[in-house]
Amino acid sequence: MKRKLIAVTACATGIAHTYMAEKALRKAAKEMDVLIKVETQGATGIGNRLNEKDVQIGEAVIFATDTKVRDSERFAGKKILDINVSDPIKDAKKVIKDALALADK
Amino acid sequence: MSKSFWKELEKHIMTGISYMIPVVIAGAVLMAISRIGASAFGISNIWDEKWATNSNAIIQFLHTDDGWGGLALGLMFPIISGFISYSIADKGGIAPGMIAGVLVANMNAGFLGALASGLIAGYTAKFMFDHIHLPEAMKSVVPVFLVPVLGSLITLILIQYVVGGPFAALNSGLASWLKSMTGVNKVLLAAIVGGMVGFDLGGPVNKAAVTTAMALLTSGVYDPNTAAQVAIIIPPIGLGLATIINNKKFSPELNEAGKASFIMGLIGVSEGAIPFAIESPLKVIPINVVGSALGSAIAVGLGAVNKAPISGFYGWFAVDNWPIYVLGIFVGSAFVTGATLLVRKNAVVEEDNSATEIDEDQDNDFSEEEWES
Repeated sequence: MKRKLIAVTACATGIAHTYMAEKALRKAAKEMDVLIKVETQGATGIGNRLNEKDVQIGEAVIFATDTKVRDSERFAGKKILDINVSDPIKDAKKVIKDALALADK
Repeated sequence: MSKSFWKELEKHIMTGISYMIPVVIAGAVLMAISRIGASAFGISNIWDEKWATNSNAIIQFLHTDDGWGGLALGLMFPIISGFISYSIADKGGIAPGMIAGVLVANMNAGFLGALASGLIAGYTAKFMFDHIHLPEAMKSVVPVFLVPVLGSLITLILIQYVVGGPFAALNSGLASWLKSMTGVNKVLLAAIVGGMVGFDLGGPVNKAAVTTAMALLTSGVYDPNTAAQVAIIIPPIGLGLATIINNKKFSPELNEAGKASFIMGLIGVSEGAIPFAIESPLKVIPINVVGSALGSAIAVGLGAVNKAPISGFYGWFAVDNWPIYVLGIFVGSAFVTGATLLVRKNAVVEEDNSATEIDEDQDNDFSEEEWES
């Protein structure tokens, strides 16, 4: 069974970083053979919204956000890696490694 | 502890700014439409009451529209204050934050006043949520009564009697100081604003400079806005041009990003330059800062005045002294292009590093069955 993560990305303007971070995470996850669902909280609204089941399945949550995560009560009780939106754009593989390590703790 | 506190603080402020931006854009552009429209009739004070009863229906409308712009901009401080507070204390923070934000707007205590009221309201509300423990039957008294009423009252008292006055004085002092600036100081100011805008391409430093410049528009201070609007588009245009002139110096991804960046620059979005800043920040950021500062200094120093918060090309010709304005953009962009090409070596052609492709039209890269297995 593959490892599974969930993530939320958000930046202040919600048009550039949010989606760059999403792409970077998905690409790195694919290369590392990890399944990841990424929710984007951008200017046009919430994309690929994570539902209750997704939250349950994800071993850890990555918050790659510069602003407040909307509806963050969904993730109550989960292990959360709280980082800047620019971190996955710089090195997404490290972010995923960190999230997996957090999940193993 | 202290480092994460500052990171939290930044997050709260960025959240407030992200909710404020659409309000500022709406208000400022409505106002710009009215003022640019009015200048076609040779009117320079469209906000004056006398135009409300003008025989020309278009002029009447332009006057009304200016008022709408003012209404929208009046929401700027309540919104940023309310959403900073929301970021800190969740839903319960919004009421005290917005109410105190209206007081900030009325007292003319400016951007700093709004930051203060948002933070005070948010932390007050959070403190109450965390520390007031009532018996189960009365629990709902906290969110429906105590936080809205006491939270607002405490914040309002602190804004009205403690921080509001000094910030209002600072704000009006700043506006009149900026208005009175001439010669070298004016050019220096433009260069500083330009440099701040070019520094992080839509990040906190950029947003602080741009929103302050836009807020000053309402006080009739135009130079910071002129500088900011010039600076916004210089990095994306300059870097885009560099990829077009010599694509050997960039990776295939950056060449793609360069075209998009150039177009985003023309329509006034500085974020197009971000991929370059991420790839080699130590080269790109100083060049952007100098290029933006240079362009802003030229435009403002030689007398261009942009009264609208519009940086895209469709706004260029509404600028007073527009040829000089365009010259500023051109020189700044040319500096970024030239300097970038000078410091970059030819890109190493990498072994097909795009082996991993993701389908951007899909939300996920696997099936629901695999996810749930």
